[in-house]
Amino acid sequence: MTEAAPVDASPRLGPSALEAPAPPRRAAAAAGLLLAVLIIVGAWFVGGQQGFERMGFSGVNSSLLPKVGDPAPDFVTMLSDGSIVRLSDFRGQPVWLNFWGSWCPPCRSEMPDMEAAYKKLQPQGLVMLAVAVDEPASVSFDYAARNGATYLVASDPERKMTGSVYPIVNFPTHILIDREGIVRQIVLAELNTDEFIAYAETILQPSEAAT
Amino acid sequence: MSGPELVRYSFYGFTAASLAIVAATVLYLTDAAWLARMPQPAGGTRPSPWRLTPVGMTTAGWLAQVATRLALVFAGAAVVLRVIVAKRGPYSDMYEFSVAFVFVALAGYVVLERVYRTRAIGLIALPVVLGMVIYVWSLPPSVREVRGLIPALQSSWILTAHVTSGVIAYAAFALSFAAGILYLVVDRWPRSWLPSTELLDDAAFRAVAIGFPAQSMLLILGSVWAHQAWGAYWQWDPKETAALFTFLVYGAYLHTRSLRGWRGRRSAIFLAAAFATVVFAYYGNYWFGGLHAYGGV
Amino acid sequence: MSSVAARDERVTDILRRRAGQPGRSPVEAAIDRVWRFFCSVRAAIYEIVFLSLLVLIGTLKGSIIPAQIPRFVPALEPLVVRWYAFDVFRSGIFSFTLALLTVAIVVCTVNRLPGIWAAIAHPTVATTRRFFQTAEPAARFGVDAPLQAAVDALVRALQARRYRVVREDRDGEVHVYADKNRFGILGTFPFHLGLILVLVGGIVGAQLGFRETMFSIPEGSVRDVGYGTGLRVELTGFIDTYDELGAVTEYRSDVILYEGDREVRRQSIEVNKPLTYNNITFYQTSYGQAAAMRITDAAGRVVFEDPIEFTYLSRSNKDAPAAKLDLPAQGIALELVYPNLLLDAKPEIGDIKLQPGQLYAQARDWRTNERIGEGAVLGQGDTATLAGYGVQFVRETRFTLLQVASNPGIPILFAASAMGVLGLAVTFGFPHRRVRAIVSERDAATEMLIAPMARRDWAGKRDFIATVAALEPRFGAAEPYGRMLDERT
Repeated sequence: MTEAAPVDASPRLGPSALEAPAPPRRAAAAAGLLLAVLIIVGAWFVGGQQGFERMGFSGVNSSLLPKVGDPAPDFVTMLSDGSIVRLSDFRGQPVWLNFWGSWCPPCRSEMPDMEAAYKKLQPQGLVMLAVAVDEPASVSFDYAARNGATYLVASDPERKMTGSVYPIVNFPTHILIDREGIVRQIVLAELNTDEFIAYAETILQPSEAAT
Repeated sequence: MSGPELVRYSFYGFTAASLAIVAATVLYLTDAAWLARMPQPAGGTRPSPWRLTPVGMTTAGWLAQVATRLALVFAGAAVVLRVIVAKRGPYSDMYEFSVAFVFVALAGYVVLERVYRTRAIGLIALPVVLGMVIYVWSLPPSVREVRGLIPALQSSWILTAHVTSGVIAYAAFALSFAAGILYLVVDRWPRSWLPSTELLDDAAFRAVAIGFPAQSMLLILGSVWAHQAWGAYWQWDPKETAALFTFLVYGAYLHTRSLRGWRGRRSAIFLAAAFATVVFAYYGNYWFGGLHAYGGV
Repeated sequence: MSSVAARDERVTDILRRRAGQPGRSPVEAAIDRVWRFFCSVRAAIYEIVFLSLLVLIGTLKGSIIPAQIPRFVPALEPLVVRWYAFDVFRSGIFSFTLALLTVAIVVCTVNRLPGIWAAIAHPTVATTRRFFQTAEPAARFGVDAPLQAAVDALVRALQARRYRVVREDRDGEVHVYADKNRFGILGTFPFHLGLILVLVGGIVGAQLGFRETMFSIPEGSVRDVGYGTGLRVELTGFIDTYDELGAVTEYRSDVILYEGDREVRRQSIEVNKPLTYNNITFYQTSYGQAAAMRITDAAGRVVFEDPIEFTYLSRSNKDAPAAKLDLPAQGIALELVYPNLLLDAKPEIGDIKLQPGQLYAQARDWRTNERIGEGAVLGQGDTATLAGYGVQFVRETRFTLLQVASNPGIPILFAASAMGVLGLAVTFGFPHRRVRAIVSERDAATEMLIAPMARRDWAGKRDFIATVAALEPRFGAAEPYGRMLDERT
């Protein structure tokens, strides 16, 4: 019984170059390591060629709007009475900054709620500044006047004033700025009266620095 | 690490995996070419039908295996980093899905290599994976960014499980395709350095035995999710239909194999053809649109 | 193998044999024929192919392909039109083929049961020497022990490897049959039962449930669900939120559910978070614009006060949403048109171009649908007198579109899925392994032939090799046998 038995599960083919032994351990490990290094260097090179360093800043990592906790960027705009204001003019007062347009249905449908909330919160010093964009100033001002908005309505038809610092994509956008000019909250949704009042709480309280 | 850095390193991982896959493909081919030129042992060229392939290690073969495992590690890193940034499974678009496919297909291949102790399946499997890698590189660079999800896609665990089953099923079917194709090659040109047809038949069958239940899970979880998001289990959406068709085709493979004794060549031809339904199901949303046409890709 | 195959008795075989007996009735013959039709794998394949063709026809409709055909072959245009008109998935032929296939699955599966059960419960133990000569691999042990002692040792060794062992003494030889995972084959039954239950669940859901895809409620309004549910839903608010890039992150309807006048649930419905009450589920589907209206009669009494949703499109401008309010008690109907959503210059009604925030109202006779007087353009808060009623556009608001569905098939579908997956796991996780042996006395020694039933089954052969390796310490080195000897020469 010297013949190959069927129980032999090990590789066996007789004397053949196919049975070439595995490379010596050290040489093998070195070759593998070299391969790994080559691949990593290659990936680094491809990354440089393809400009990977610019990756990762859009999508979930994007930051178009000012960050909560940062100072709100300043801008100049024209109010419906023709006067020119700066956002920083309101420093010391809580500012509810709203971006809208009469072309935007949710903005229109939240307008009465916004007005109702404003009536309620104005005695507490809240400033509401609604900046209309992407349409002629007259259209925005007419609409606001017809629908009885008593808060401040401004217009930036071609976004020349606000576009670079507030690149709004979503309408309506609400940016809540506290007395120190710090952005406290950003709401990207249509709101009702109760929600306006609830959100406003975050900027109406006297700031911690003052107490 | 910050979000943007993770996104970047994830793609560096995929780049390294791509290079490793190219290297592995070349090395497997070199290995085969080298083995083919070696003097064959006397006693016939037909491989032993039931033994493990009695092929010794060659330098090219060893490096090919190392490159494959490196690709596996890099692709795994690409998937994991992406999952960390997005805080969800890799299912928002074809890019994430395809990178996950590359990872799972490589993992499946490495398991196959270990269980059957043969490098030969890599001759077909690695080029298939390489094809997917080329597809990923052909996608617009914007897909490399992580994006937010539309509401219908925000059901984390079901979608993660749904897409994971999909990736496993399609990767398993790709491996069964590789084994099936190699079967046909060995059937035509038996060589002692190639595995036996029986081994390949079994490898293909086991891949389907993993892929078929995964495909069933894909359909079940998909309809559970559709039920939650759209209020209907089944809408005959093109991708849905294609996945069902794939399920039926591989079901037919299993039945013809067990009931009609279609082992061997006919099964191998069946598998080679059946993979077309997988390709169709994978890219179906390109040609037909429908509810799975997310994110343009 | 022949003696083994004979045991694989199927219902078909039984029927065939019975049919061959004299004096069978025509009914029996007919049953036999029908049964064999459903058993036929070929028939099942034709059914699947035909079904796939139907599905392809139905699915391609959603793609750009049909619309392209007339561009290349204009003569085919009528065919394409009929293609679009053909609702494949609700057609009789589709249901019929599906039913046929279901019956085929049932019959085929039942047909396999006797054979499978026989293999499990009463395996054929006796075998022939020819089996070992043709089997590959096969092993021979020369054992230095009396026959019965060798058999006992073999049985114990196989049992140690989790084999069930059956032995049969005949003609001075001992035939041994051993198998493991024999119940694994049964996994095919829960799997196929699961498949059938999926279809059953689908049919139950379609027949006993209901689905309302267009259930709309304006903000601040209460609407009846209908379908005899006695449920009413109030929408307290609809919210859609977006990310900085303008992509939707959430659609949410805050609702209160009433059963009769009793509040039973207060919940938010989101795209992936439906509300379920008493097996009735509400899903978020869409939303749109609505107008809060207030209508008063000449005496100043309010006859209507509720928002109206713009769920239709205007006949005069296909891009302008429209709504209709019926007031049968007053004998009038009110037609409302909302500004064109495309914000282009196309007028909505005649020459009238509505501005954002305006709407157009026209009174009609409720019975004849004749116009009553001229229509009016209303801004928010404006009132006009139409057909003698004061019609006020109070404010713009929005409505949510929900889908309401009741599906009693759901538990069946879940059970079916669990069963199917379990069945597959058992089938593939526990492959049936079978080994045969003959132990006999030869030349004053005991010879043991052993081989697996693993024709063209690589994994089975591998498993057998491991088994033989486990026997070797006890019985000495195994010799190759049968075809393995031929191969070496």
